[in-house]
Amino acid sequence: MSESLDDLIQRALDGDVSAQERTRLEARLTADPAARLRFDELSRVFQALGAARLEDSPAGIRDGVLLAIRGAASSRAQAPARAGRPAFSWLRIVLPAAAGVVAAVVLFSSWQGTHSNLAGGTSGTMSGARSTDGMRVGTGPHSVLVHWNPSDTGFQLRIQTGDAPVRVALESLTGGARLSMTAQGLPTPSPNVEAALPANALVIVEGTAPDRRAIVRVRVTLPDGHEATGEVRLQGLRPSR
Amino acid sequence: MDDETLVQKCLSGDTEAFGELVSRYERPLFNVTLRMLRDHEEARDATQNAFVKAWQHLDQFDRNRRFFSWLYRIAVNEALNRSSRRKKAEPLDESLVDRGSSPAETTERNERSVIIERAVEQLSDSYREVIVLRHWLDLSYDEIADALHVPAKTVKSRLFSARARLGEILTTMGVEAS
Repeated sequence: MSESLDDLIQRALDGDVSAQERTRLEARLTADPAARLRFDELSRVFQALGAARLEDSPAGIRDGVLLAIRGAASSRAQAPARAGRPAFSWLRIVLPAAAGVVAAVVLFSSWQGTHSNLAGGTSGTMSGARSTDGMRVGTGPHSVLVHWNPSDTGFQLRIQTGDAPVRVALESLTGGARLSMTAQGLPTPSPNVEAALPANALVIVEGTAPDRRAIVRVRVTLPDGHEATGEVRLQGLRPSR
Repeated sequence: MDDETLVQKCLSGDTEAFGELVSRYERPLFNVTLRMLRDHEEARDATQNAFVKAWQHLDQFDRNRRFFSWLYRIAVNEALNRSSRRKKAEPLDESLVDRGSSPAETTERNERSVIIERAVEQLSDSYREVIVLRHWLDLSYDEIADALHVPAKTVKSRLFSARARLGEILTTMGVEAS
């Protein structure tokens, strides 16, 4: 079988031949049984491929992407732009963290976790803003972004601070769950961790959950004493030893 | 609004414009990563990360190329990296492969579509790639060539070989012409 005939057959099945070429091909197929066989075989493949169809993409991809890139942007929104560089070039500095966030958001959905936010602290001036893909506790430069994903030991919370330092406290509300804030080097996991965090920081909190679920309250305290709280509810976790 | 205009807006920091590009291409990209990874959750992760990486590196996008072609390469690399990590971590247990639908849903789907998906899964990566781009995403030879960074002539010959191989697989599966 010559290459040119193969090419012609393929183009014909792709609908990419002129009327003259089609006539020429039909003549070849009539005169050459081997060519006819070849044509019929490829036709069968095209017929089968005609049943191919695109699957719908899962819900939430767009939101997840925007959450990641905006989450990074919000933590740097007031940073001065550098001359001669695209406005978002600085995002490269923080987006590796955001990319991790995406994975966390996605995994969360298959992980049957839920989350909710509670009203602000005693001052009532700040409150957690609910998101479908992640959680922001507080508002403005003192707010933090909280994302979560499963880990070998149970779960992991990523705390991204904004443009101002804040004090963040995490409290496990379920009996067995334990937390350890790796950046702070706490020697042993405990039900509660608390630390004063600098601006634009990413802190990882590792969690264990022997009974495969955890409820963690996140409390953000501003320098003036105002508070905002949020709550992360996770279930279906990997059992921790 | 065309891709080029949206990209220009993105370069000015317009995240809504990027959201429009995500909406426009998330479905084809998800289908590409799904065919490569055969796992809905992994494919979703890969698709999402590909978009985030595209945003990160948007200033490196060559405006002379189609945006989808550039995006496609990012998604394929993301899927390949994930696939490689997964292979190193543990062999894939076929019984655990998430086909994306329950048995009940499968019976509701077009049976031929399911059969052809199974057949395409048996192709090599390079053959599966051109088949998916041509028959699922409906790209032209030139568009496929741009996405794969190969000459259109290579696309044609690869498609021919891929289709021939697919024919053999379908025969093995007992699929006859309808």
